[in-house]
Amino acid sequence: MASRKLLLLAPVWLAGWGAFGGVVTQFNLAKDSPVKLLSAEYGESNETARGGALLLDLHAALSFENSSHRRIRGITLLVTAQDVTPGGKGSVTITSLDVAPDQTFPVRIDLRLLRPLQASGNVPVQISLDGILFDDLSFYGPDKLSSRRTLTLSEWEARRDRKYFKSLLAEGPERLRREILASMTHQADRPNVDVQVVRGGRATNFEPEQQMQFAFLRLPDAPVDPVGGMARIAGNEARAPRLEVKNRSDRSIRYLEIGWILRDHNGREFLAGSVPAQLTLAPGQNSQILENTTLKFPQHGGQPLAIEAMTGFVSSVEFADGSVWIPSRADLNGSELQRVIAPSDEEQRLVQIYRKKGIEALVAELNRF
Amino acid sequence: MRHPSDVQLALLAGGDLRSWDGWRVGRHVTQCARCETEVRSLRDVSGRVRELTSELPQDLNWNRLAQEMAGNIRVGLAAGEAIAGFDRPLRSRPARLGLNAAMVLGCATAVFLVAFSVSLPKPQVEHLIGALNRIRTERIGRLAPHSAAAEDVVLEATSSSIEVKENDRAMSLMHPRSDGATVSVNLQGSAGVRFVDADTGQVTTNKVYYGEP
Amino acid sequence: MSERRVSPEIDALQLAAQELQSRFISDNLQRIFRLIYRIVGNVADAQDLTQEAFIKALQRQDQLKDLDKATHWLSRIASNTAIDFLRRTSKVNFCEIDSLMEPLSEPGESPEQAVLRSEHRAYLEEGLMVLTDRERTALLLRDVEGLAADEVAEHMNCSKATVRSHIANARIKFKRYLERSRRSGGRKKP
Repeated sequence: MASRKLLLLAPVWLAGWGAFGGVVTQFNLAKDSPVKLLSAEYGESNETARGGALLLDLHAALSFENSSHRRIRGITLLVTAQDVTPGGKGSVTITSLDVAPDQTFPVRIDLRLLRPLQASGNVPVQISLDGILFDDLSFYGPDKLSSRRTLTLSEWEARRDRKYFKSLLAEGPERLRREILASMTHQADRPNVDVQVVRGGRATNFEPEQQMQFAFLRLPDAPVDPVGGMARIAGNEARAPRLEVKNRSDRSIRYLEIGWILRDHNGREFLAGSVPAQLTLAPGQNSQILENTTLKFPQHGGQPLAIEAMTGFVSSVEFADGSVWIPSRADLNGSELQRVIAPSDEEQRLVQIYRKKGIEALVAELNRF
Repeated sequence: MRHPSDVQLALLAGGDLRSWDGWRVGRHVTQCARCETEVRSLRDVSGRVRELTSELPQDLNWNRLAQEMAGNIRVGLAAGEAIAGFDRPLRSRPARLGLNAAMVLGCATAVFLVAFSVSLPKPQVEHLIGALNRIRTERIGRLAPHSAAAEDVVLEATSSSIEVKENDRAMSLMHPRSDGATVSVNLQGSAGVRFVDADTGQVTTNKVYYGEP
Repeated sequence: MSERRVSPEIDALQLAAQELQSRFISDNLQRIFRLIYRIVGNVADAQDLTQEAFIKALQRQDQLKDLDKATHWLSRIASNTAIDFLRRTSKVNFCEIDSLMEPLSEPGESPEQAVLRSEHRAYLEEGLMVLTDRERTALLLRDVEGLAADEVAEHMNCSKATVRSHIANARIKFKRYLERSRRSGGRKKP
């Protein structure tokens, strides 16, 4: 299908493609939105029968303009298709941005919907703004997906890593290049494992189940100490983690995340997921974190995966006053964590600049901040 | 003019499109040269497949293979009769696993004895034993556990897409295959993939979320 | 040594039964072998499974009420045997649908090489192997064996809608494969 470019005034209903029914996209932007949707271009789309259902693809390239007076650092769009998955949602987040007022930036959405074949008519898809983070760390948006927290944490990591790489640059570009190459090596070595999330902590295999205790990687200046924890492990499934943490800072905590590392029978370690907790944790207080969810790891490279050990670490903390804590660069460098966890969004972006354009472009980019 | 989808034309070509849809799409095809050509090529597919399957694989000595198979079938039938007394109806299960093993051993022994009398090579005898074991297992019943239903899974994150499923419906966000695509899961109900967009250089994270029932 | 005494009538009946059995095997052997071979894709497995299918069929011949339907009944046993084999060995879920957007593999040899050995059949065979196991099985049962879609669904233990998808996707993929082969062959000709 030929792509169509449309100039828009939001909110607008757009007729999508489709021979006998297709996707109709609605963009919802409030009148005071700090971004304007300038255009939406729809690319090649497909439909395929799947069982008693139809697969519908939507490929959209959106162009936004920063209509505020501040620089934009991150944006999250909420994508919903109520007729298809009433309880499910999607989001597209772009971080490590630096969009000046009146500047434009693109967002790409590649969506696939599966719905019953007999359901006729168009499928409405709503795209709305969940949040925007500015360079002064102020936030705009309904924040239904906790994007304020996600964008803020990402921005703090970005500042941490830019500062780190700039400090290396002070020792000369070769020092910076070595570190970037080391980052690329870590990324290449880090296993990336497909994962399924099963609701309710139910078993989906018949492997014998065992209770496994968490080991913990303690970061020296973390405001929270993990005290203990366990999960039920059966073959390639990890179920229902339970953790206890202690607030060892002098401030109240309202949110934290524990990173969950698994080791398989080949000795390969990978980050399974994060265990979040929204809580009120006063200084010195303990609290339990319980999640009734099962993580399942399908075969990797044709080999079944069997979990043998687990490690937890505190990956982020949000205090009651809105300030945050993340591991420092010193905590990460050379530690076991660096081998297992992914680099920050900003580090990933800087590595990509180096790959595509070389060390000089990277140096120029770092010097912009 | 709106054209039917490839799927509908493919089903029409084989007479597999249901009554109302079949009439509607058929009517369109009679009025649209492009779709008519499409249907004709799809019908051609069936013809080509029938043509292909009417032939034997290349370089196969069919006469020899046919003789071998016919002989094996006769041996298999004779062995089956020799141990017919061990078979039980489908509904009942052996009391102990040991009894099942004894039946299989009996079957294997019978096949060996019969095969010996007609001088079959060992590999063929092993094939027959395998076949008879499978037939026996079907008649007695399988003990393998049934794997969990796919509808238990609500979120899935792979290196090419992330998906949230609800019953027979799903929504996925796809991303280009790229080096450094990172899968992540939040146990409160989201799965995501982060990648660097090759065109824009932007770090993009797609996520899907499920709501609590 | 005692002699086994059997009446001549029983001897004649047994001989006739054996004759019928032999005729049944020889009349249907090649057809069943070809069907199973196209489903599983290799001669060795096809041989085992063909033998297994005939043994099953002949052991159950008392279940066959109508001799006119013997051919279809045997085909059904044969395709079930092949499908069960695929389920066991390659862990195929016949009720899962494959994406139509899977890239089709290029022909395994250049058109020039293909001319030297049976070009027509080689590239058709490759086209069939481009399909997934479930698509190929559904296509063979529908377009070659001539079973109705609901009969195919019963064979594969899937819903009729799922089977229709397999059939549609198989036809579309094979057609695209034929078109791509023609185009690449056309470009390479002097």
